Order: sequence, then C-alpha cells, then structure tokens
Amino acid sequence: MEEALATTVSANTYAIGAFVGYLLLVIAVGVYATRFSSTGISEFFVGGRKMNRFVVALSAVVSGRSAWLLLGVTGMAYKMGASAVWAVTGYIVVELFMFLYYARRMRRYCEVHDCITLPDFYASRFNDRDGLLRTVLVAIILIFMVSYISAQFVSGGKAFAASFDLDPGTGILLTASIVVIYTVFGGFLAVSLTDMFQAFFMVVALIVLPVIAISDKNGLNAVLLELGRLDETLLDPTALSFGAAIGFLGIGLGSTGNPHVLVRYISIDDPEQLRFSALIGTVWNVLMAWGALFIGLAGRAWFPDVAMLPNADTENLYPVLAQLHLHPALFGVVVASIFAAIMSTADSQLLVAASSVVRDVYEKILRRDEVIPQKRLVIYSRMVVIILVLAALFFGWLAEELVFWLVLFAWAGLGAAIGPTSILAFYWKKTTRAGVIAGLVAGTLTTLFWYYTPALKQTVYELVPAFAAGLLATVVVSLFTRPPEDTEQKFAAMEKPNSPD
Amino acid sequence: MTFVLTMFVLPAAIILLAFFLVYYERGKSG
Repeated sequence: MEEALATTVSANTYAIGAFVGYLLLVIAVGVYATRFSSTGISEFFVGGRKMNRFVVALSAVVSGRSAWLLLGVTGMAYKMGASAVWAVTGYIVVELFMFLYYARRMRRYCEVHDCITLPDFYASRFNDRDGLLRTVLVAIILIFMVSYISAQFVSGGKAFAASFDLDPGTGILLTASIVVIYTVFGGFLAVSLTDMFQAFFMVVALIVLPVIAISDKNGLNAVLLELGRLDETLLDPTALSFGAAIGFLGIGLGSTGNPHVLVRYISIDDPEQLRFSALIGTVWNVLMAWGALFIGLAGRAWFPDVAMLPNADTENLYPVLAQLHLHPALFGVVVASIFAAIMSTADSQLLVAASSVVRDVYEKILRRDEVIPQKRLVIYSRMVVIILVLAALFFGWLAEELVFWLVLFAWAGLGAAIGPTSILAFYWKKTTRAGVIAGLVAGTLTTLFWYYTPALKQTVYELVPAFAAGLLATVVVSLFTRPPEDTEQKFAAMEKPNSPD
Repeated sequence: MTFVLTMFVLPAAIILLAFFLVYYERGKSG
C-alpha cells in the first residue's frame, strides 16, 4: 500500500473531462455577461450594484480564499494538527461582522455618493480635492494587486504542470488566458457568477474528500487513534504558543483591507440583504475551512511521514489524497477546485486593479474635468484588463522573486493599511484625511519593519502589530487635524434612515 | 475534550452566532 502512496499526482481522461467541463462553464458565463457589462463602467466594475445576495455572499467568500485554503491550510493541519483551527477561525468571525455592519454602511454610502472603487469612497468621504489620498491608495492597491495576480498565475501554472504533466510556463499562460477571456468580456457580473460556481466546486471537494478519506480509514475514531499514536499534540488545539494563536486569529484582520473582497459589498442590489449574505457566507466559510482541516488530519493518518508526499511537500497533500480516494471524475472536481480557488481570487484582483487605473487614475485624476462616454470607459477598461494581465505575466517572468516577496506582505500590508483607516472612516466622525494618509503609511511600513526584524517576527504575525500601528497613527494624526466639515452628512449617507447602526 | 470543542462545537457555535446576529439585526431594524 505504501508504494502506492508515495506517488505523484496525475490526471486521467475522467479528470481532464471534468476539468474541461468546468472551464467551458466559466467561459460560457463570461460570454453570457458580456452585454450587461458593456453598458457602463459601473456595470463593468461593480455589476451596476445589482448583484443578488447569494452571489455576493459566495463571491465575497471565495475571492478572499485563494489556493491558501486548499493547499496551505490542509498542509498546516497535516503538520500542526488541530491547532491549525485558529488560522481559519479569525477570518470567518471577522467576515461575519463585516457582512453585517461594515458592508452595509459601505454599500449605502457608495450608492449615495456614486463610488465604484475603494479610492472613490476615501476621496469622497474626505473631500480629497487635490487627489493626494486617492493617489496614495491607488499606488498601494496597484503594487499589491499586480503582484497578487502574478503570483496567482504562477500558482495556476504550477498546478497545471502537476496535474496534467504540462510545462509550468504553458500552465501559466493557460491560467492567464482563461481568466482574461471571461473577465474582459463579462466584467464584474462574469467574475461574480463564476465565483459562485467556483464556490460550489470548492465546497463539494472540501466536504466529500475528508468524508471519504476518513471512512476509508475505518472512521473518525480510527483516524484519531492513529494521530494520537503518532503524536499526542496533533489532537491538542492548544498546542501552540500564545503569540502564534494571536497571529493565526489576526489573519482575519486582513479581510478588512483587501479591496478585491470589499468591492463585493458595494455590488449588492439591496444593502439590507447583506444580512442574508452574512448567513450564507459564514456557513460557506465554516464548511470550507473545517473541510480543509479534516483533510489535513485524515491526510496525516494516511501519510504519517511527509516523505510519502510528492517532493515531501505538505501542499501536495490535497491532490494526492483526492487521487487515492476519489473516483477519477470526482478527482477532476478536486483539480478544478484548485483552479477555482486560484481563478476566483485572480479575477477579482484583476478587476480591482483595472478599476483603479480606469476610474481612479484616468477618469478621476487625469480627466477629472471632462465627461467621458460610458461606452468608451468600458472599452478602456477591457484594454486595461488585458494590459494588466500582460504586465502581471511580464512581472512574474522578469522578477518572480520580487513578486513572491511582495505577495508575502499583500494580505497583511493591505489589511494593515486599508483595514483600520476604513473602519475609522465608517465609524469615527473625527477621522481626517491627514489621519488616513498617516494610517495607510504606518500600516504598510510597520508590516515590512516587523517582518524584517527577526526578534519581532518570532513573536506574532506582522499584521497584528501593523494593524494596531495603522489604527493608532490614524487616531493620533486625526486628533491634531480638522475633519471634513460635512462629516455629519457623510455619516447620514451610511445609516439607514431612522435606524442608525 | 478540547479537540471536540474546537473541531465540532466551535464551527457550530460560529454558525449559531451568525443566526443570532442576523435575527437580532432583523428585529432591530423592524
């Protein structure tokens, strides 16, 4: 049996069939959404704020979960056992509260003030007439987003190479081509609808695989006995340091500042429906996360030694376990779920980056005194999506190390910069433009400083102190500067009439 | 015991919290 375990992942006709079916589905969605997305820039970038509550829930949830959940969390649970649970708990709880409170304020405000990007919101909330705040935000968003997109393509290429015995370069080009086809044509509607399908692929794979892998091992008791025999701490969720636990829970702070997740909230048709999205999003998040944790635990029982995994890499656990236990067609679903995770994140990041270029840089900074026809803006947006994909590919090819260096900080950097400043912008009337700029800079710099100071890095994940620094800098500078004079009106736009929340 | 609490009770508790908060918010906004 063990000879069969130390194997590589390889797809057969069933798996290829399931995977190709999935690809055809996402491309068909792109074509279906083309007409709607061609209407105007609001339709192209936020679906005209007409998205259904179910679509918004799933799209917001899977846009935030890249291959990190499928390959990273499963590998983490394999290595650490039950204590990996804290890595998923933080973001699920944070996102529940965001759907219920933060998102509703954001959606209401954005409708009243016609904001379709995150920099649009900041510029409007703080009367950013000279464009300084918008420029700082666009710079932060573009640097991190293009790196993110590039890294997603590289991950997709590697997954293609591992699953279908292809050259990684060909895999990267294929991943980029599929994403660009449905994003260019279908815009936000296509991205959201494909996210919804991708959410189904991911949840099916993450529920079916652990159930079958555990039952093939004679049930959960047998798996737990095996884990206890290997190492008692695998069954102890408290077997980690206090700093590590805080760091794991702190991953959730990143959800408050990643614009490709936040823009989902702006797109819903009725802000009151975000309550329903909160419920669906939380159930989905819990199912996917605990599915990933049980895959890691079952995987450890099946492969007690990491050397039994291809390249002795725990990130290969998910596809290898699937190949061992699932029917080839279901294995195809598992392979598709890896691409679903990668593409659902890459497409959302691509649209956010493109909206920053077209809406923020071109329409609001370079041509701010002109009225530009909507159709022309949509054409420019499509061109920018293609240019950004080429830039991400070129960037990844030219400087892969730099890309992965930037991605190390992307979740934390964006979370620490945008998270505290946006929360204060929504909830604290004394927040000022200068305070927000200070918070953006402090959050980003603290992330880098903490990461590169070994004594600090060992204590806790950099996002936690950087978030606190962003919050502190925004508050301190705001206390010494004057908030916009129309703050009361701005706050009124965030609240439901007669029901402040 | 802590294993059961985190791997089974915790996810159920998060979902129950979501139901409670949504119900509470609905009641608040009438």
